[in-house]
Amino acid sequence: MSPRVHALSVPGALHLARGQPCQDAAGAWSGPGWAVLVVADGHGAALHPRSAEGSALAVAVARELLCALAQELCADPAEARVVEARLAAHLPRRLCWSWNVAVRRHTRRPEHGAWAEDLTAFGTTLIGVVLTEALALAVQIGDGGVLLLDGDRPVRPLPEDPELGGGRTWSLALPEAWRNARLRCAPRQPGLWLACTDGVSPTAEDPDLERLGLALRGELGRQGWEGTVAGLPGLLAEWSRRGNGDDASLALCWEEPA
Amino acid sequence: MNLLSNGALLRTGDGRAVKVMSLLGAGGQGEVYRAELDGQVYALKWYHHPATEWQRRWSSSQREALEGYLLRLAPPDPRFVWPQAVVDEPERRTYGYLMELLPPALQGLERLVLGRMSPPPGLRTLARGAVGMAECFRRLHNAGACYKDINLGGPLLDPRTGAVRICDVDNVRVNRTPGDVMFIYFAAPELIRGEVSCQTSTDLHSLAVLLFYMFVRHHPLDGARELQVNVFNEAAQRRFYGVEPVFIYDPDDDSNRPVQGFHDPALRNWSLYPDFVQRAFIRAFCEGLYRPERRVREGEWMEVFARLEDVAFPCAHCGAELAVERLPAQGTAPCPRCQGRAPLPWRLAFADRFVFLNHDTRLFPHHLGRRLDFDHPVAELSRHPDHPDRWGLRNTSERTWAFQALDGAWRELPPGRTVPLRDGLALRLGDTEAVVRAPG
Repeated sequence: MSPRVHALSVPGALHLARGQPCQDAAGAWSGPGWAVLVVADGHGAALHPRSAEGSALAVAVARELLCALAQELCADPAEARVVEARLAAHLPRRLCWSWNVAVRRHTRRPEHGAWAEDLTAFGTTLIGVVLTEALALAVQIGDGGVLLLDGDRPVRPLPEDPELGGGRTWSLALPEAWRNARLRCAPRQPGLWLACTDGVSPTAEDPDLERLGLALRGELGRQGWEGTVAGLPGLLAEWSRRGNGDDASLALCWEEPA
Repeated sequence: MNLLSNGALLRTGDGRAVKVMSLLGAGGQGEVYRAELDGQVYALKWYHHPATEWQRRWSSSQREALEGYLLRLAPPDPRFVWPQAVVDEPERRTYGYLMELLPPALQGLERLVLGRMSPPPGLRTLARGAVGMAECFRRLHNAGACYKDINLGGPLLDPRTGAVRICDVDNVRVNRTPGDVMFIYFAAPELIRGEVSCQTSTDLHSLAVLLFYMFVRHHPLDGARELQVNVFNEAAQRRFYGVEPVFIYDPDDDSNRPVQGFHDPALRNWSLYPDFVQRAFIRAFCEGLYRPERRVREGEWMEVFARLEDVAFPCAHCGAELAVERLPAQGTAPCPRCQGRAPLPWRLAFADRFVFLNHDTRLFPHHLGRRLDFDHPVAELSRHPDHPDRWGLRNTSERTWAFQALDGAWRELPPGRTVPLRDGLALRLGDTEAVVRAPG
């Protein structure tokens, strides 16, 4: 597996119109035999005035934990269902705890991972995807989406959350936020992997992400990786204009067909 | 994409047509569909297509177990959702089996642990469910089998009644059959260390973990040490659950206590339970970790949780249920939810214990000397049809009981009849005597 990865966030059309900064964050990393994609959507409302910092901290925390996990899964491969059973209880809790600690460190307060009201200011969602030769693991707290394009066939690796929709989302800033996590691990399918915030795809059943995936798949065929990546800022900005106007973040992983 | 399309036609081993109707859910081993056979609706578990050599071996041994063992064995308890027929597709890439389709009132325990069970079950309902689960596993073990992979996904609970069913029975094997377990965090330490095969004693550890999850909503071995590792990998799993397991409330070792913010359900819930419940868990996860013969047996769990149901009652102020081990002198107990003083209800006092008389209290032969017999209730609280503030105890057994009337004479209480409750009412329930007591 020699994946190409890329991640970007663009300010949403509504944010630009109101003079607000982009409150999303995204990152993508890869190494021999693995890739990690992360996106986070700072909530942005008045209750969450520091959510841009919250989403950046979420991406930093997820980077540390998920890149270590990816390398671990390469070094010590296991069946997908075994990995899922092992991590289902631990990984979401660890991500939430570490984010709580990171926010406290960031604000120079005594570091601990217990929930407190003041975390609300930093509210954000989080999506992480870990890809190895053998496995694909996705974890999600809040809205947004994860998509695999296996050829032209779109696959949603995570189950829908019936409690999301209509602008409602879970947040890392909620008490025991791990309760709202979705996590799946499955044998990895090759193809184009995408993780995005709700500026691209508000809910799992929203067809926008699938349309974007197919559009990107077409671009990759026409322009190759470099050309497609160069066009992403404009594409996402356009997507936000046509969609809900929120900031839009995308992390993608692409393996050139052999 | 689903493994099977709606409308797909499959065949049972004896050639009957099975029609796939719709997907019900998916899990680690495969998917479950609604399916029709001979005009009846069933659930069809359909395994993933084996893609690796390990999966092909597993698939083959699984089929062997289904056809060679499970389909030939009568369910040891009707609450097990037992396989009824193996089903094949024409392409023979994989297979599945039919089982009873359960009503939606039954919900998985993951929902309970995540706080998403609806309605949230009360303490007494949970205790009733725990008795039922322990009883199912007791009967399975008495049949010489082990469930092997007890985990939150197998048992289902009706949160309104406490009724239970046990699914995922396809993992059941004869004791000591070699094979892997998937849910390592439920596995007995000696199993993780590779010293034994699955058997009743390893199931007993898993059952204790399951019960701890039900009541404390947390894993009994996940404490402060979990934060010492960045990635919860196979080595950490082996160390924490197999080689050096430490109970989070081990009275002699505080190295693995729950951490605020990371293990909040444990911190919130452990202290809610009376000493006799805590003592059972301490034995299960202290002595029992290293000495399988000291593990809490299914019957002991049944006693513990039957007693928990007996001594639990709803707080009159907030409705939360609480339990007391001993009767507080002042006739009230502190409510952990609203912090008020909850008045105790009336009780039925036996020689060595008491049962609170809640509106839905039932007595079983277990209460009258036939230990662990919970099959049919022998008495229940009943409300007077014309005077809803008057309560009585109805004899639902097939034997005639006796009660002491106000004049001191003993009168018969035949099956189906009710005696009104009053403080000091003495009862002869077969060979057992009891007295109704008002609070205080």
